[in-house]
This record gives sequence, structure tokens and C-alpha cells, in this order.
Amino acid sequence: MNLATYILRRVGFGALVVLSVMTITFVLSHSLGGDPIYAWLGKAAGMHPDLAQAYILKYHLRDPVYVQYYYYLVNLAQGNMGYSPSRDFIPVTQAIAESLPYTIQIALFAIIITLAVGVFLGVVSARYHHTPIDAAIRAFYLTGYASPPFFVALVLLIIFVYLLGILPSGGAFDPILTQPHWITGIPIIDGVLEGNFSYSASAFIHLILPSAALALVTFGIVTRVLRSSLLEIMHTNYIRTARAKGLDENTVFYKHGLRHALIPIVSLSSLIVTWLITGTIFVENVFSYPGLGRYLVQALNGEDYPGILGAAIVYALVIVAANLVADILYAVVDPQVRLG
Amino acid sequence: MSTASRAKKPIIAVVIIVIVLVAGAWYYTSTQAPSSQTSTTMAPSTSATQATPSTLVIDDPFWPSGDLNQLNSIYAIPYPDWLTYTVYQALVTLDGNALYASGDVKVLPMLATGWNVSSDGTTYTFNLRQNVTFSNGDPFNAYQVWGQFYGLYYLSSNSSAWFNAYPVFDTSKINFGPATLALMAQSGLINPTPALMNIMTDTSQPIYVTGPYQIVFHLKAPFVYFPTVLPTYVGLIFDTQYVLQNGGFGTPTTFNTQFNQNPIPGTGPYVVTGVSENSYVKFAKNPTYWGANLTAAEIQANAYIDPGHVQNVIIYSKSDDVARYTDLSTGAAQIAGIETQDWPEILANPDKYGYFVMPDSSMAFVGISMNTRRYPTNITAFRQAIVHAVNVTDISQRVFFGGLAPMVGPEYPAQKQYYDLGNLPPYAYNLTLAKQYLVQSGVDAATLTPLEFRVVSGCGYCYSTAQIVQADLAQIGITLNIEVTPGNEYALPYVAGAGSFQQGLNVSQQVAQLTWFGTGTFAPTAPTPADAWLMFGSDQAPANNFAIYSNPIVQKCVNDWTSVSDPSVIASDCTVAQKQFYDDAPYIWLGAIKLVFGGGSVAWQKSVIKSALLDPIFTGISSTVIFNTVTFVGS
Repeated sequence: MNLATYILRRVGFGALVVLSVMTITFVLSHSLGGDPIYAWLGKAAGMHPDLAQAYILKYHLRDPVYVQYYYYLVNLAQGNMGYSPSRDFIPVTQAIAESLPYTIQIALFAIIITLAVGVFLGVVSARYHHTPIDAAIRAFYLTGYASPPFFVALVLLIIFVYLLGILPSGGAFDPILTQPHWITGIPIIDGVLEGNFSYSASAFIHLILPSAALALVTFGIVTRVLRSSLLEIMHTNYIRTARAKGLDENTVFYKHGLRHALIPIVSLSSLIVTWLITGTIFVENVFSYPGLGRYLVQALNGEDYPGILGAAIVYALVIVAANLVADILYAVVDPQVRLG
Repeated sequence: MSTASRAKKPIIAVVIIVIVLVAGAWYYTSTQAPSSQTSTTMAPSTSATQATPSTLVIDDPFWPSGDLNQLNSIYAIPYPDWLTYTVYQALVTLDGNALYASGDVKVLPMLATGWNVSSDGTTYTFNLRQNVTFSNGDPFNAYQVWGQFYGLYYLSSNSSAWFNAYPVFDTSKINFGPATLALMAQSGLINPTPALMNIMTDTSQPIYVTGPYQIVFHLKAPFVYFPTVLPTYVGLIFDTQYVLQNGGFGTPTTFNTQFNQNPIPGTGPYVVTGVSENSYVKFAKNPTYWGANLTAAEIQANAYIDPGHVQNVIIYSKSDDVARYTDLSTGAAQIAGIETQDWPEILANPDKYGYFVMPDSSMAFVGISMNTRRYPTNITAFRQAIVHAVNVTDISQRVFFGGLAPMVGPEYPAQKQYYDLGNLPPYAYNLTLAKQYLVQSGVDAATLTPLEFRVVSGCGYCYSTAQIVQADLAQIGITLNIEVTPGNEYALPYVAGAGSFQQGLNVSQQVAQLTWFGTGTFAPTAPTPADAWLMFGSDQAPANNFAIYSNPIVQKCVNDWTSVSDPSVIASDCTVAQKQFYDDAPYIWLGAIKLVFGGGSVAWQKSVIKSALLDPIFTGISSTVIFNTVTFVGS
């Protein structure tokens, strides 16, 4: 199987996964019970039966689930994800476009923190393996790894906001500042593009805690894998050869050992992205960060089927895309994978 | 270039970006610190008086359910409406000081200077304040008010209950639809054309104008509390001319959503200057506010027209209680809604924090309904057994920090003239009596299928109360299953009060035997004495008849409210109805709440905030303060 065929197969498989997620989410959300018209219109549904009936007809709320799903797929094929009742019936695509850039922003910074902290501690842990430093690092990453994101978020909130008072408790930027125009939607980048550096700096400060909360949960796996990988590599023959050539230990460790030990981290990237993305659902709500995770929770609370589906599809797409990229990279690095 | 150096490039780039951002953040922090110290951030203090901040910061647990679009007011669910009285004012309001001091309901002029009522009690003529403009400069006049009310009527699909759910107008006489809207858009409401004036002045219509500053409401029957319907929801006046010039009202199924985050101008003391969906709303003083030069005496007489004491206000929506408490404790917010989780911290620091306590005579309360249409709670003696087996005092102490004032419903305690007619005592906690009623009901508790008690998820005090009720009823042999229901399912067919009486009746066998009133604390739709009867005891209730309860004697009282002008007749009929209601026991009135959120309240920093008022229906419109009424220590 050549690379192009392999990629096509993986894309097809990814599309199947997204379709499955969409179908399962659709069926589950429509099986919640109750009547969404009362969640959507509140008291008005009881006060204004005509209005309720109009919404029921417009959104096919009384039709069988498979009929509703048919209408959803037809609309989706036309780029219409429906209207979001929890956002007062604005298009779901608009709600996602407004919130997704915030999630991308904290996810990107969380990846940077995850890799920086994970690699650094992995190296230190391997370098000083079976010492108290190694034990301390292991305890640290296992604590983070074993903690749910919302708990880590609350701990960070108490330490850095309540006790130290050095970071804001929530939001994406200081509202007192002038907001830049929507260019990419990502606050830091839009601020820089418009020369509004105070705004970018404020946005950066506001994303430290959410990003750190996500990273503290995920960096551990990087540290753990890197440590194991390094320890294994440092006992291989080519490292022994390097030492025999008279190279100093730092050169052997960092130049020959670390570079090879980093390869397994590539395979972890999809897993890290998956954890980070799903973690945003909890972290964004603790820090009132106006991203996709907060929108999803808002949609869940409001029985906002189109919103729930829209957010779930985007999450599925991101996770599938991350896995696809990892698979392709793997295939490039190791051609044997394509045969599998 | 070597492979190694190429590989290092991205790493170097990332390092440079991080360094630049950290440096920028440091620069931002160092340059912003002095201003934020006086605006959005204040160091906590237990005693020292601090300067009035230039920006008042408020944390609220919620985000407005309909964003900031006042067109949603016909739903009565733009909750919390942070723009009430701060951006949008009503023709009349209530005396907030009297309301929160003693629960006295007293109507005061706001955008109207006064009103008179015809001798037959069916026609109310309001004289409007002149020289008032909306914040964009459009004039406020009777034509604008006329256009707003009929526009909202149109959006409600011509519902008879459009006016805050009070069916007081004969809507069969209304002739208003797309053609009139088109004429309005063509004519405008500043100087209406003769064609539009012909419609506006048509005295056969329920609402008509008699001049630029006079509007008339003609009711289908006398309703002496009509002015009291005006201070909330659809009564909040916005610039209809602006609506017409910016896409119009929309249609009954698709409101104009342009105003969701770009709110329609109002006449109030503040304007919205920035919105971030689900995050915050920024306000600044309205430079054209008509009441900017009110005297201290005028403000004292009607606190809700106060021009405000701070230039800028930010309300954050923060769903996490720890985050809100952290903001309050560090001074990042001066006012915050604190719920059960962190409420002990507020109580433990009385020198540092103040908080709102409702008067005993309020209109906000908590309670449990019993399905009067489903076995065995359809048996009156069985319901009597339950109301006498529930220890309300214990619930108050253990769940509400002692903050429940005993009440006898359905009338709200604040409506003193009509509250507890007949002076009936709250149901006594008496297990012996409860057991007697149980025997009398003929229900064999030993073989009875466990009853369902539905509470909404996320409401901690609802669940804690349900657990106590469960233990209480176990003492007389009744087993109870607590069913925690997600908020999105807390609706028909499982919760009757989410729909009309008739809709509840249609699904009565699916409605749990016991249900918590709504999703937490209950506040009225409008602060009239008719409200509770129209909701809890009417077979025409548009919503909130959670017990699916009706009785001809009670219905007579219900009907009196919107058809009889003689208060003594209403009082007489409702005294009889009160006794019937009491004996039928369709509801367990746990009590009027003293804390805004039941197990918590709106708290503030004592070193900064001196006083403030909540909305006129006890947080039924907004979950935080009406911020133009906030006064500061040292100012």
C-alpha cells in the first residue's frame, strides 16, 4: 500500500468516526426525555401555545428521531448546522466561530507547556534516575496525571488568585481594554496584528491558568514516556559505542540519546491533543473562558440539540485530525506501518 | 545548513515568542497596576475605607438566557436581566427602599409622571415624562411606547397572555400585524404620519395614544393592580424607533437577533459599551440621562431612578462559586453572588463582607408541590398527612442557614393586604396528626409504591431538603424516591408548572407526586397580589401551577382579581378560597427565603460598598444588584 492510499484510507476511517460520533450524539441527545420546547422557550411555551407549535414545526421536534436526523444531515450537507437555542437562535456555525478560537488558543499554549515541562522533567528524571529528584518528579507527574482537570483548575485558582493574587480568576482578557477587530478570532494574534500589545498581553495573562491546568494533567505522560525511552536508549549498543569513542557524557546523553528518545513523543501527540481538547470542557467552565467547552456546557444545560451536536462534531473533527496527522507522521517515519 | 540547526529553529522561535509574551505581560502588569488598583482590583481590607472605584465590578453566577435582547421580554425569560432599570426603565416602578425594608409594595412613577383611572376601573391613562431621550438621542414619547407594546404583542403570536402573562386586555379587538408594522417602519415613531396616527388613536383598541405624552390602557374588566404589572419584563421601555430602523422586530418564530449583543437603546442611567458572549457586559454612564441632575431628595424618594455613582460597571458571568468568592475576597470584584459552597466564608467574616437579607415579607420563597391528579397525592387527607409530617423548621436550620420565614401560601407575604386571609397558621409539624390523616386517607403505606420526588440537578439546597423530607415521611411509613433531574429535562411532561394548567393536566400521570417549585427559589412574574392566585390556583394558569390544582371556590377568587374592582369583594371571596386552599394542601410552603440564592446571597465588600437595591420582585428579574443604586463608602 502506498502512502497516498494509506492516507485516503485513514481519511475515510476518520470520516466514519465523525459520522458515528454525530449519530450517537444525535440519538443520545434526543433520548434525554422531556420536551425541548420548554427548555428552549421556558414559560413562553406554556403561555403561548401557538408560538410553541410554530417552533415545533420549524425544528421538527415532534417528528421521529430518524426523520429529525435526516433533516439535520440534509442541512449539514448545505453547511447549515442549525440554530442554537441556548444562544438565542443564532446559527451554530456562528457560535462555534466565536468560541473555537479561544479554545484553540488555550490548547496551543497548553501543548507548549506540556512539551516544555514534560520534556524537561523527563530528561532530569532520566538523568538522575533512582535518586530523590527522580522520585520527586515521578510523584509530581503522577499527581497531575491522576487528577481531573477541573480539580487542578480549582487548585491553581486558589493558589495563584486567592492566595497569591497575581493572576486573574477568569475571562479571556481585561474588558477595560479596547478589543481588536476580529481577524483570526484568536485574541493574542489579533492584538498583535493590530499593534494592540496591551490587549495581547492581557489575553496572555488570562490564558496562563487555563493552559497550565490542562498541561499539568497531560505533561506527565510525556515525562514518563521520555524517561523510559531515555533509560532504554542509554543502554543500547550505539550509545555504548559513542561512549567508547570518548565523547563526554553530556554529548552522549543530549545529542545521541535525547534525539532518539523524543521519537515516541510524536506517537503521543494525538493522545495529548485528545486529552487537552476534552479537558477544555471542564477548565473553560472553571475559568469562565468563553471557548467551545463553555459553549458545549451551555448547550447541554439548555437542551440545545444543534449546539450540542455542533460542538461534538468540532471536537470529533479535531481529535480525528490529530490522530490522522499522527498516523501520517508515523507512516512517513516508519514505512512498515502502511503495510498494516 | 545542518539538520540539527534546522531542527532547532522552531524551538528557538517558540522560546522567542514566549519571552516576548512574558515581557509584554510584565510590561502590561507594571503599567496597569496603578489604575487597576483603583478600578477593578482592590486589596482586601477589614476596616479601612477605600476610595470609590472608577469601575464597579460585579460577579454573577449566570449569563442572561436571552442575551441582551429585550425583545425576548415576552418570554419572561431574559433572566437575569442586568439591564433592568440600569438601561431600561418602566413607566412606573416600586419603592425599592420600602420594599426591601419591610416588604411594602408601593408604586412610584418612573417614565410616567402620573396616571389616573376611570370611574369604572377599566381605563388607565398615563401621562409621560417629557424631554426624555433614549441614549442614542431618539425622543421618548407615547408613540414609542405604543409601538413597543403592540410589537411585542405581534411577536407573541397575538397571545392573550402577552402582557406579562396577565390576560387583562380584550385581544379580539386588536388590529395589529405586519401591515401596521410596515406602516410604522415607513412612518417612524418620532412624528407619525396621519395614517399611523389614525391607528394609534383608535379608542376601540386596548392601547391607544391621546397625544405625544399620554397613553391609555383599556382593560376588558377592572384590575386595580394594573400599574403594578408594568415594572417588569414587557413593561421595560426600549427605543422602538431604533428597532424599526435596524431590521424591525422580526417574526413570531424568528425574533431579530441583531439586538442580542447590540442592545436596543433605553432611557436609563447607563448604556452598554461592550459585550463578550457568556463572559461579561460593560456599562458606562449614559451622558444624556434625563435624571442626571435629580436632587438627593428625589433619589431618596425613588432609588431606582438614581443616575448612579460610578462611571463604569462590568458584570462578569462566572459559573464557578470558588472563582466568584476569590474575586470578592481579593477585591477583583466588589459585589459577587456567593452560593452555598462558599457561603460559610461570608458568614465567617462579618467585618469584611455584607450581604442581602430579604425582609420576612417578601415575594421570593421555596416550596414543594403535590400532584393533585395522581395517586396517592390526589387524596386530600394524604396530602394533609405529608404537610404535617414535614419539619419545616428543621429544613430551615439545616439547609437554609436558618433563613426561611414561615409562610402560608399562595399569596406572597409582601402583599400584606391579602396575605394569609383568615390568619391561618403554617402547617404544624405533628407526626401524630400526620398519622391520623394517613389512616383517614385509606392509603396503606406498607404496600404503597415509593413516591417520586423530583428536584432539579445542580440545586444543592433542593436535594438537601428532599433528603430531610424523605426522612420525615419515613417516620409515618411513606417511602420517597428522590429523582434528580437535569435542568433540560425539568419540564413537561415531568414537571407540570413548566407549562400551562391544561398541558400539566394532559400529562398528570407522568408528573411526579412531589415536585420542587421550579428550579430553585420562586419569584413572581409581576409584583401584584393577583400573581400567586393566577399561577398556583388557576385552571387557566399559563405556567407555575405545579400541583395541577383547581377548585371552583379558589377559581372564584382567581377570577375576581381581573374582573372585580371592589377590594372588599376580592378579600371576601379570597378569604373563603384561602381556607379551601389551606384544607386542600396542594403545596408545602417551606417559607419565604431570606438569602437571595436560598443557601447564599449577593455579597459585597463592606470597605467599598455602602448600600444597593435588588430588583423589585426580589431577584425575579435579575440575580444581582440594580447597580445604579449602589452607593459607596466615603462618597
